Amino acid sequence: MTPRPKTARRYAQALLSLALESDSEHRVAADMDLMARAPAGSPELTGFLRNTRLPRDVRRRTLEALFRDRVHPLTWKFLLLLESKRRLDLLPEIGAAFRSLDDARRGIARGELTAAARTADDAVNAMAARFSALLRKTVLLQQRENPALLGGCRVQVGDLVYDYSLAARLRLARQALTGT
Amino acid sequence: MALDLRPEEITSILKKQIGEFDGKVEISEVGTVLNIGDGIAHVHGLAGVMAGELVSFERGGATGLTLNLEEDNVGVAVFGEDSSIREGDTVRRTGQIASVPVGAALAGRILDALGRPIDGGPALAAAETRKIELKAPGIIDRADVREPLQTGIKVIDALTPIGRGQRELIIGDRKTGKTSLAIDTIINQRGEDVVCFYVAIGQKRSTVVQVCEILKRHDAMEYTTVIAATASDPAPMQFLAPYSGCAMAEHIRDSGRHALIIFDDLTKQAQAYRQLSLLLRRPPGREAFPGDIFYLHSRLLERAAKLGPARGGGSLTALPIVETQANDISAYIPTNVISITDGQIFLESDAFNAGQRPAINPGISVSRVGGDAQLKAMKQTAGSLRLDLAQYRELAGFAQFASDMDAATRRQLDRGRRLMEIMKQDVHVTIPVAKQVAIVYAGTQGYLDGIPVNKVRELESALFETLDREPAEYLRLFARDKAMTPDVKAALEAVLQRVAVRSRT
Repeated sequence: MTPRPKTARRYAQALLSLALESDSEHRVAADMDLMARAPAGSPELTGFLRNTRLPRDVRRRTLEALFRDRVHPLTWKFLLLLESKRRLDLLPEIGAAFRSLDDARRGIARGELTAAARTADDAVNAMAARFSALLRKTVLLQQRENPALLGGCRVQVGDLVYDYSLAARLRLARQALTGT
Repeated sequence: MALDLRPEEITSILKKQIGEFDGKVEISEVGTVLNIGDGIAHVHGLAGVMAGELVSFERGGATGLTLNLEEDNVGVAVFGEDSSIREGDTVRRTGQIASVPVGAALAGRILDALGRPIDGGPALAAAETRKIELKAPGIIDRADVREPLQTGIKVIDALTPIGRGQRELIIGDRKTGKTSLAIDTIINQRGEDVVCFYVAIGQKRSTVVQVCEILKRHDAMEYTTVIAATASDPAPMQFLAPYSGCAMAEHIRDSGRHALIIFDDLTKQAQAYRQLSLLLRRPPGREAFPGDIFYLHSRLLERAAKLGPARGGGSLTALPIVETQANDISAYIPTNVISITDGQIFLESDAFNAGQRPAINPGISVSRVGGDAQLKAMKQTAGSLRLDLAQYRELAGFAQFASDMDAATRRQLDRGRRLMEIMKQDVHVTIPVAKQVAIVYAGTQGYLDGIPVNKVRELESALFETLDREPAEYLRLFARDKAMTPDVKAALEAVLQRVAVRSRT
């Protein structure tokens, strides 16, 4: 299926501005986080969201059983709207779009810290603090491991990559020596 | 204004920066491949990338050129092998606009569209590079086209002369001798101060090899660079090759020298660009070409120019080639390029098959600016040639139905047939301008009228031989005057008398 980021962003934008008006953005953000993550862990849920052939009342009842009591009333209304527009399959994308919009609003940049081996949490936090100062944003770093880096670490925030790894230094040295 | 920077301040700034960056760091901007296929990759991310910037693919080491900058993705044309690139791969910005090596090291080499040697020779030792896409020189920078660029082909130098800095289109069906005309022009630049570039776009590799062999055989390769994006190269390379070649030739132009570039052919480039554009989902227009197909060729050919003395007086002459289908010059690409160039040389398959080679149709071939650049001697001689040929064409069609004609008409037909005969020329045999003037003079002044049509070419070779063998006064005077002064005329007529008498007996 082709990604439809524009449609997802529009729904997310509308939901975010409603949440801001009713001062419930934190609750809704938590809900949307759940929506973004939940289908990935459960193929049955993904199947349900994508299945538009189920009778409408079945879909609605299933939704109610699944989400009614777990989410904020605004999120629940939003889910009903998506259902009536047959856009439930967009839910994970809307969740992701909502998070990036909310992040941009709060000045949060999410990134990744990749290292050759597991890094201590306080080292990751220290890096996050450094980058927060550097980028003038609250940087949240997620940790990853990649032995191919050999040593050091690589930090990616948005499209920018700060490569402190041994592998990158070796590559730079090779480029400098061979001129390619 | 005095610069107020204290050393301590610099030191403290440096200290702070070193404190922030411990260790050497490589900062780069990346994106991920969304989809890849047919030489086009759509990339997510790369938010700060420039249009026309080179990007590099982590896997496989291929480079690409950003063409489409959209809200949520970037369209990239991939140079080289794209089969090793996968969805989700990392793409890195390089911060560089596509550029090619330029300078003296290029002479005699065969390069690809990115300026990398493909002739198996050593790496290029070029000190300089130049951006592939540059704006054409402005109005102030230019001068009139007024020096001739001799092609060594009688019919072109006489009827559609080409000046240095001109853009003259060579147009015709397949197998009508378009490439041969271009190659002969390169061969004729031997000993001149013109550096040549031959851009092969979408051709068979075997054809490119053939061209290089011909150039080598005529010692023309030493001042020629071949840029080849063959049919087996990806479409982005075929699209880019003319711009690369143009950038290399521009370097010669801007250093005050003269360059000649041949685009063989722009139809193929347009097709490659159409492929790119459709894959990039740009809306198709007429014949499915994108909307900016005119600009594709106009911005390329505008870079051919004669520069004024303030800019060194160099020139870049362009000979684009366009292939037609069934002599249809009203198709999209031919009309576009005809309207951009300063004239066209039209080749016809009928004439070619009838043995009239080069198969140029003198009726619809024109040179809009070359007249000013034509050598004075040729201009004085060829003036009546054009008229005679035009009258001949008119009468020839008519005479097919007429049973008997009056003497004047018959005379004109006879003259025309002989003139058409002297317009013939063997391939890869270029003729210096003094000899061209001699034979055209013989034709227009009626020296050939008594000779049977099938003997005209014999007389021509006898004339050239005589001019070569005898210490002819004519060549010396011609080199001095470059015009048909009474002295030159007298000397030439003396030779013609002798040759004509000899061939009659």
